[in-house]
Parts: sequence; C-alpha cells; structure tokens
Amino acid sequence: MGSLYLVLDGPKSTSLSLSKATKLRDVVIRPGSRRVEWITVALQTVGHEHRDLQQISIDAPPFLTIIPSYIYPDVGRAIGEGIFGQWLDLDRFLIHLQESRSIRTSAIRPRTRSKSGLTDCIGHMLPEITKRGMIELVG
Amino acid sequence: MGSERKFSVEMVRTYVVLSRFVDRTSAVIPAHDREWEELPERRIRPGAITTTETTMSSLPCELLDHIVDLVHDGQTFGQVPLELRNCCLASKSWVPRTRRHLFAEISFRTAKSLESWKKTFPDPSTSPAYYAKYLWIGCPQVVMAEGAEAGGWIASFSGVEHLQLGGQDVSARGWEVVFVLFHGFSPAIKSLCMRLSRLPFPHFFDLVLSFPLLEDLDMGHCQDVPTENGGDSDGPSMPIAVQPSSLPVFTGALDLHLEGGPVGPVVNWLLSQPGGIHFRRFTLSWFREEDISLTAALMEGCSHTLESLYICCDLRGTSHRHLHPHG
Repeated sequence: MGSLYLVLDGPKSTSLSLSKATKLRDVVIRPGSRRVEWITVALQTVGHEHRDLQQISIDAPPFLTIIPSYIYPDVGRAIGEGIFGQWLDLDRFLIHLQESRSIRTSAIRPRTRSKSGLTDCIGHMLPEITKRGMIELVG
Repeated sequence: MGSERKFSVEMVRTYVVLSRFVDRTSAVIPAHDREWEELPERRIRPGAITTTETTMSSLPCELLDHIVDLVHDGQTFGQVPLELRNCCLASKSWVPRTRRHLFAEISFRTAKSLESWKKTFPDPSTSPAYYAKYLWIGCPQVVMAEGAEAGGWIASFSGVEHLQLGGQDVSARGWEVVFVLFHGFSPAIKSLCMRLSRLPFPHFFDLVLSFPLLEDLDMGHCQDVPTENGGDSDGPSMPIAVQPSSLPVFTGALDLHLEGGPVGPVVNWLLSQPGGIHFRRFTLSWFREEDISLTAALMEGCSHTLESLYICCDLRGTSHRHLHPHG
C-alpha cells in the first residue's frame, strides 16, 4: 500500500453568480478543496456586460501542496475521476473565456511549491490551458 | 530618484555632523540612536538655536519636506533609517516633518509598549500621537482596565486613519468597554481592522458607525459565536453612544474571515445600512455552506461598484476521502 493522504471536500454546489457584478475587473478564487465545479458554474455567469473583467486567477488549493510530484501523472485516480473531471471542465472553460473574451488566466503558487513544482502541478490539473501557454504562473 | 535620495541622505549626514560640532560650542546635547521612546529629538535643549538651524531655515519648506520624504523612502520594513532619526538633530525646523514619518505607525502590542509610551509622553496634548496615521492596539486588556482614564491618550490619536484592534482572552463585555473608548476618537478613520475573539454586536456596529469616513472593513479570527448582547453575562452592557449625523458609506474593501464566527449578522447589518454599501473590493472566506449565499447577497448589494473579488473557500468536513495512490 502506498502513502495515505487525507483530502477535504469543498462545496458540492453553489449558487454564486457574478452576473450582476458587471464592474468586476479581476477575480481570484482559492478553491481550498478538490471540488471546483462551483468555480466553473460561477464563471459561466460572466457575460458580455462584464466589459472590464481582465483577469481570473486560481489560487492553488492547499491539497496540491501535499500531493507528491510522482503522483501527478496519476492525479486523476488519486483525487477521483469525478473530481478530476471538474478540473478538466474548468480547464476548458478558462480557455473559452480567454479565446472569446480575452480574459487572462493566472495560477498563484502555493508557498510550499517551487515555480517549477507549480508548473508541473497545474500542468496536470489544468492540462490544456497549460499546454497552450495561456496561463500565467504567479508567485 | 535613487541619486536624489542618496544626495538627501548625504545632506542629512552633513548637517548632523555640523550640528554635533555646534553642540560642543553651544551646549546642545548630542544624542545616539535608541528606541523611539528615547528619540534624539527629545534631547535637544528646548529653545536652543544653532548655526545649523539658521542655515537650514533659509531653505524653502517644500525643499526640506522633500528631503525628509526622500530619506524616509529608504525605509525598510520595520526599520527606521538612521538618517531619518538624525533629521531631528539637523534642525528644529525639521522635527515636525520628521515626526510625520517617525510616528506614522504606532503599535501597542503589549502592555509594556503602551506603558512606555505614556511614560515618555505623559501629557497627551503635547505627544506626537497626532502624527500617527496607523494605530494597532494588541493589548485591549490594558485599555479595558484603564477605563475612562484611557480616554485621554486615545483622544490624542485624532489623526489616525487606520485602526487595528486585536487580542485574545477578552470577554465580550471587555470589548464593549474598548469599543466605547474608541468610539469616534478619530474622525479621519478610513479603515478598521478587527482581530477579535468575541464580537459584541450592538457595540461593534456602534463603533463602525462612529467613523464617518470609513471605507474599509476587515474582520477576522472570530472564534466563537456570541449572542446578540455579546454572549457574556459579566455585568451590565455598556450604553450605546450617540452616533454622528454623517454615516460611513463603505466605498473601499470588505474583508471577512470569520472562522467559527457569525458572518450572517455582520452581512445583514451591512446590507441594512440606509445609505447602502459600495465596496469595490471583497476578500471573503467561506467556512460554512451558508457563507456562499451571504456572499451572493453582498455581491448583489455592491453589484454596481464591485471591481475585485477574492473568494477563499475553506469549507470543511463535508466528506473525507483517503487516497491510496498505489492501490
């Protein structure tokens, strides 16, 4: 048996809507847990009336800091395929926002991760946007 | 700008050397750098006029101010540059401008630091408290114990724009006393930061409303859930003070990080303000599912002004999962 990791879940659903906050310029979200479906749902409420929105940042969740790098290639199985699917959905939607609205995306490095560690980590959680070089690594 | 600052620093050094030379002939006491309560400026004999001062007074005030500002710009976090302290020695005319920097941030983290201040500046009316823009009170127990006597030195900080109150092991009743003492003490307050273990609501709201220019509200680390009257039964509640006619309009940043604390009453109170809320920045932490709907309500309330949103989701305990990476 390999190492044992404890990961805490986040909200199962959310009704957070950004639709009325049309003056938003930047949004930073720190998931805090594995679940990110609520982030995608919230970002889907961004409309064309959000003319000032320039940047969306994902603050790397704490659980990423406790996953050793050798698990990254198999992170889907480690965190659960359903949860991993939520990250892939977020990945696709962030690309959509950037392509359709020119809203930049960045990922904020956790304190305990090196920049290269963050690149590896985010590269597996948000593979497509990382592959295309459309996400800026901050911190 | 770098060379300009370097020139200013060198200029201050030169004038300090000159002033020390004059000290030997005109009995102005030289000084060494110590803690703020032993600042060299306090050692200059009152009324002493030096040749240095005569020379310095011939410079335009704007230029002197600029020189001192440049010296201050070289300050690293938590360290006052030697040159800035020495500005108080260069000339008496430099003292007011230098004090604006030297006493801009005052922190009473412990009872000892507060006692030291009061011992150094026994008369609040002549203390440099007026220059303080940032005040951090980390020893509320001392303030609480002083009661009305604390009102004198608190009132001397009438130019403070940023107030931070924090401390553990203080009852809700204790915070009531502190809140009443700080009620409207500085009409210039723009930001209020609370790091409290308990939150007596009526008096907290009363304190917030006593600062008509308040823009930013930052609350965090509330660990328990008090009742409406503060959650304690250790004595009668302090009376609510009369509010100023002008109320804050909340146009800055709202930071709520109340783990285990009551977010709902704070949000509901904010949303019930007659003038509405107009925050431009939110930093909100979620510790419970209901915090999400409260965030939605806040966003609704500030939908026309909100420019920056930071959500920190820290929900716990909905389920635990054990990972077995290698089967």
